[in-house]
Amino acid sequence: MTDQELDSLFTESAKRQQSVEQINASVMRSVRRDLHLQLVRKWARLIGGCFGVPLALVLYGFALHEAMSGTALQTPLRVACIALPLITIGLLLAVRLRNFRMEV
Amino acid sequence: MAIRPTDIELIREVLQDSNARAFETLMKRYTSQVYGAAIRLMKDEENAQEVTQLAFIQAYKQLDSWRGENFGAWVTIIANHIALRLLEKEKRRQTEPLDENTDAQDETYDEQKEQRLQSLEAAVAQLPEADRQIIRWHYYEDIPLQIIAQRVGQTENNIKVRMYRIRERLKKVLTSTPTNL
Repeated sequence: MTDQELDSLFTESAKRQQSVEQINASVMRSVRRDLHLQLVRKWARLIGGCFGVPLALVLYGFALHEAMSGTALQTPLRVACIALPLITIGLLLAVRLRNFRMEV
Repeated sequence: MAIRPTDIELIREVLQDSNARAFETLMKRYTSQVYGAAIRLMKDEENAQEVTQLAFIQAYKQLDSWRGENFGAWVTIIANHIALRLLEKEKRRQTEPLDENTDAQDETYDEQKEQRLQSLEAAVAQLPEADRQIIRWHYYEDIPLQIIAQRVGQTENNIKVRMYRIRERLKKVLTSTPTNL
């Protein structure tokens, strides 16, 4: 192998190195974005669990109470107040069942 | 001297602590290998880059399904699958005859050059750390020998002699390495 051949090989290798660095940078951008999204999802789930579920329960309770005892509400609204929690529970159950996997 | 973490340790860090740096370290160990495999199949630098990126992203997403085999080989297999899928898709999409396309791709790809590049990378990796650093600075970061001499605390002439010896060693290794594997 001559000096020129080695030099040209090094030039090619340096170019290759740049490509490899570009690949690494691009993959890491994607990985960091994914990690960031995971973190956001985790916090959203936590906040949703801490505040969203109790708030939903209070609202459902209030809706049911109004439906049972409220005299100011009209019948369709009363039916809606009863149906809303039931539909939500049904939907949540359906999602759970659909995603259910039997762990072996 | 810092202990080099094993692939398994790095993967554990990624899975348990969501450590992006651990994945970066792991990826840097194998990018060249996976890219080499991708360019062999794709015969085109741009597509090979895309395949390598997709392979590492997929590997990251499926890291929990890794079964403890060689990580580089595992990602290379993923890259091969992606490359074959892309080639298949490309073949279906092509309206011109396949032979014409193959000729066009071959112009940008040289199997022998690829093998020599991989041999050079392997030969450089075998050098002692200090010599490898000099090669990295001079050829990959384009740093003049004068600056390298200042960095390592030697004269420029010393560095020139050292560089000559390193080059001779590399030439010897590369000449003895068969290129048509």
